[in-house]
This record gives sequence, structure tokens and C-alpha cells, in this order.
Amino acid sequence: MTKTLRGLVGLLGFLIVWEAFSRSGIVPQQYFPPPSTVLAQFAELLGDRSFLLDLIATVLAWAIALSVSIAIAVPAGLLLGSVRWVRVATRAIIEFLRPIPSVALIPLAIVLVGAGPETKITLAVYASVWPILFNTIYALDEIDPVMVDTARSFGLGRGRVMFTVALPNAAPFVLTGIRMSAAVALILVVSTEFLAGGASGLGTFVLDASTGAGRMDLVLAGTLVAGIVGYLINEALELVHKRGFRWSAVDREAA
Amino acid sequence: MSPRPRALPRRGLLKLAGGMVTAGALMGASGCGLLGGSEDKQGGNAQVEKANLRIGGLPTSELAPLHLAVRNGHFQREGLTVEIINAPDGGTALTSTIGGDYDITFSSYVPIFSAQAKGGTKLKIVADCASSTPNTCMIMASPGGGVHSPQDLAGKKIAISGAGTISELMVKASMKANSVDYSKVQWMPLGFPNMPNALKTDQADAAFVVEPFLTLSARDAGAIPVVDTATGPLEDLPLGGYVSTAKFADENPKTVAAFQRAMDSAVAEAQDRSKIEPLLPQFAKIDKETAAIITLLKMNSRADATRLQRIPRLMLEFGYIRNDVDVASMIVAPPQS
Repeated sequence: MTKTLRGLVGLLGFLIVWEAFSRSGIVPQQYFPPPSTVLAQFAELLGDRSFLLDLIATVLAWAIALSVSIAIAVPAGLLLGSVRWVRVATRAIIEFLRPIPSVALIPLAIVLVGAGPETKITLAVYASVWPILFNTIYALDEIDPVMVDTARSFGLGRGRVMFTVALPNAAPFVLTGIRMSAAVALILVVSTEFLAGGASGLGTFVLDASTGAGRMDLVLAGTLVAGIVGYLINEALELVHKRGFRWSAVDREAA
Repeated sequence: MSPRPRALPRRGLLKLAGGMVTAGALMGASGCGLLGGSEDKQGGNAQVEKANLRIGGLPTSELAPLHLAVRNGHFQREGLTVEIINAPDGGTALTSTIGGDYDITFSSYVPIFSAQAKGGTKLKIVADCASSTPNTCMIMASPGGGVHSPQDLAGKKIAISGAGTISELMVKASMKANSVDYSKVQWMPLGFPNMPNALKTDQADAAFVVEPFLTLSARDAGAIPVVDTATGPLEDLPLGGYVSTAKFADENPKTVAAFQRAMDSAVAEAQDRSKIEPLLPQFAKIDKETAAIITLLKMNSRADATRLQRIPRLMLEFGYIRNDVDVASMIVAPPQS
């Protein structure tokens, strides 16, 4: 309870500093509106149907992107983590692809998959595959060999060892990877919407508000919503981690 | 050392997995429309070859009739379902149209005729959009920059929305009309939203500003009007229109005609300012107070070759293109009604 209270005090302090700074006249108020203005816009937006459709479009794109990333990265991580020669053979190409910033691929993605929601989903998948993939690979490295040998000595085959020993052991690491990827995917979805435009989405809303009439109050209100979505996602995944892997000692602060 | 795992709470994990699968299925079923993608891309009906159109746009006030046409059923009456996709800028919208992602797009005329003159993908003008009226396209000066008349603009730093845009062309043309030398001007590319502040803080001596930033730069930055580019030789200059690729127009004549009829009736309705003022806060995010006072462009729907030919003529004169463009051959004739 006191923890929540402290958090609220911190938040309140931040809002007061922001309000004072914005009203001080150091920067023009219409370019950096105070939280009182932004929060009023925020409340108004939550009752605006077209804004809610923007929000739904972004969250849906995020959810699809993260699900696809998990579906790609976990099996790929298990393969790369357990079959040595595949990992060696793919190391160079993975290390080449991984650092490419996804937003730099926007023009390519538009040409390849079209300008619809496919673009943002594709780019978000591209960026969010890596944390899950690497966490899965490293998780397999961390398995106590004694456990695997014990399972083998009971006559378990390679596949059964994978599903009964390796995968449960790797799960907390994989979930940490998923938490990192969840944030990455949200960032990519919103920034692709902002940079490439589109029919709906939080990023498109911010783009329209900034280029249409320079409405910084709406821009900040939209940004606030994106921040809250990111916070809720992280809290939810942390809860899953706490409930599901109470036995695990993987450092939750790793993300 | 990590402690050995005890029994994994499988039931919890199974529930979680079950929940995710259910959520995934729900998304698959209802997601496409909510994601903002068109659900049926190829379908036609008795009236048109292609019923679902993706139209590229920008969050600017001259697109009000297009939004009006969606909202008040002008497209629906013609058997069309239109999805408007806002692009980050006109150039991107045009590229996406040439690439086939948008069926029709709004663009200002300068990039349209540049593309046509370069001889790449052939474009067709489906409808006109808007032309300049007094108090809509102005060169504004910073309050303390010492620019008071067109003559003062020579050699100054002038903000324009970008090189090779219609704003650069209009500034050059109106400086020439006022016999001012524009060769030593420092052009400063800047987005329209940043112009009021650039004028206020003297980052630019002058700027070519359009609505709603014109109203905002006068109100918030104290900017001074220097030249109204929409008077004199540039009066009633066509600024932008709706284009498609020639291929799309040739393959979908009924669709294009339906689009033209819908825009005709929407533009007729848009002449009543009270019809479009409430739309401005929604699609262009202009606040209500500003929406009530900004000057609107002249909204048109039918493209007229003689009027539009003025743009390539200006582009040729100021060296934007090397060969003239025959506008008449680019216009899709509106349906007889």
C-alpha cells in the first residue's frame, strides 16, 4: 500500500513540475501545454469514438505482432539453442540482421507487404523476434547438464527431454524475452504508424494532430495513451511472471 | 546457482495458453476491420468494377469535401466504400498510389506534373480539389525581421514546406511578379506546423504559410502579412487534385465516374461552410475556435484543362520541368449528367 502511495506521490510531483514549467513561459504554452490541458484532452479523447478505434487498431496490431513473434522466435530459439551446427551456421546472418533498425525498413516493407496494417505488424515482428530468440537460446545454455543426463538415463528421447526438461526450465527466460519484445513491438507499431501514416492507429492520430494543425495538446494526450498502454502491458506480463514462475530465480529486473 | 524447479503450475499455464488462443481467434474474426484494413479488396458490384477504394489523403482543410462524401453517404449512393488513409506527406501519398497501395490519392499539382514530365508511370487526374483564394496562401514576415514589403524579401531567409513544392513555386512566382530578385533567397525547408514559431523566434525572416497556420501565426506569433500570393497572376491557382494511375483509370471507368459524381455532389454540399466546419476538428485536428475563423480554399471538383495548364506553365518557367505537360490528355472526362 505504501509502495502505491509513494508511486502516486512521485507522479504528482512530476505533474506539478511539468505544470509549473509549462506555465512559466520559458517555452510558449501552445507548444508545451501543461498537464491540466493535456489531461482534459485525454479525458475527452477517451469518449471519442474515432480515437478509440485508433487505440484498438494499435493494440490489435501489437497483439498480433507479439503473437507472431512468439510463434517464430520460441521454436527457432529451441532449434538454435539445441542444435549446435545450425547455430554456428546462422550466427553471421543473425548478427547482421539483428542491428538493422526496423524503421529503416519501412520503405521496403511498404513495397513488399503494402501500406495497410501489414506493414506495422511485419516491422514489429521483425524487431521483437530478437529478444525472445536470444533469451530462448541462452536459456537452453543455462540448463543444468545433470538434469538432462538424468532425464536421458530414464530413457527419455531428445524430443521428450526438450518438452519436459528444457522448455519448462527455459520458460522464465522466454517470458523475460517476451516482456522486452512487448515493449519493442509497441514502439515499432506506433512509430510505423507515425512515419508511414495509415487509416487508423495511435501513431496516425499523433501524425494528424501534429501536421494537420500543430495541436501539441492532442499530440501529448495521444502519447500519454501510448505510455499507459505500454505500462499496462508490462504490469500484466510481470503479474504472469510472478504467478506462473514463483519458483524461478531469473532476475525480474533483467527487462 | 538456480534452485531446481518444483512442479510447474501447469493448470495456470494451460489457462493462459487457452486464453491467448481464444483472444487470437477473436482477433482473427473481427480484427481486420478494426485494424483499419479494407476487408474485401477486389470486390465489385452492379454499379462499379471496384467497390472498396483506398484513397490517400492529408490532414488538411481542403480535403473536407472528401470526408464529407464519406460521412454523408455521397460515396455510398454511388456504390463505393471509401477508406481514407492519411499519408505523412503528399510525395509519399503519390508514391503509394504509383505503387498500387492507394487507388486514388490527393496530391498537390507540382509533384503530379513533375512525375508526369519525368515519364514514369502515367497518371490521370480524376478530380480537382481546391484553388487559392485571398488570405489562404500568404508570405508572412517575422514581427522583428525588418520585412515589410515584397521588395524586402530579396536575399532573406524564407521558410517553405520543401524544395520543389508548390509553396516554393508560389513564392518564386509572386516575387517575380513583384519584380523582386529571388536568386539570393536562402530557402529554409520547414513543416507548416513549425512556421508560426520560426517566425516568432526569428529563425526565418519570412515564411510561406497556409491555413490553419496562417491564422495561428498571426494570433500566436504576431507575424505580419507581406504578400498575398493568391492575388494578381496567381489568383484562383489550382493547388491540388485527386489522381490515379492511368492503368487504374482505364481498367475501372465506372468506378472513376462514380467517384467523380460523388465528389461533385460533396463539393456542392461543401460550399455551405457550416457543413464542413464541424469536420475540421475531426480529421484535421483543428480546434473549434480556429476552425470557425480560418479562411477556406475554393473547393472544386471538376478538373478544367485550361485552368490546370497554368501549373505546368509556371513549372516550366521556373525550371521545375524541362518538357511541357499536356494536361488535357491527363484529365479523365467527368460523366455527363
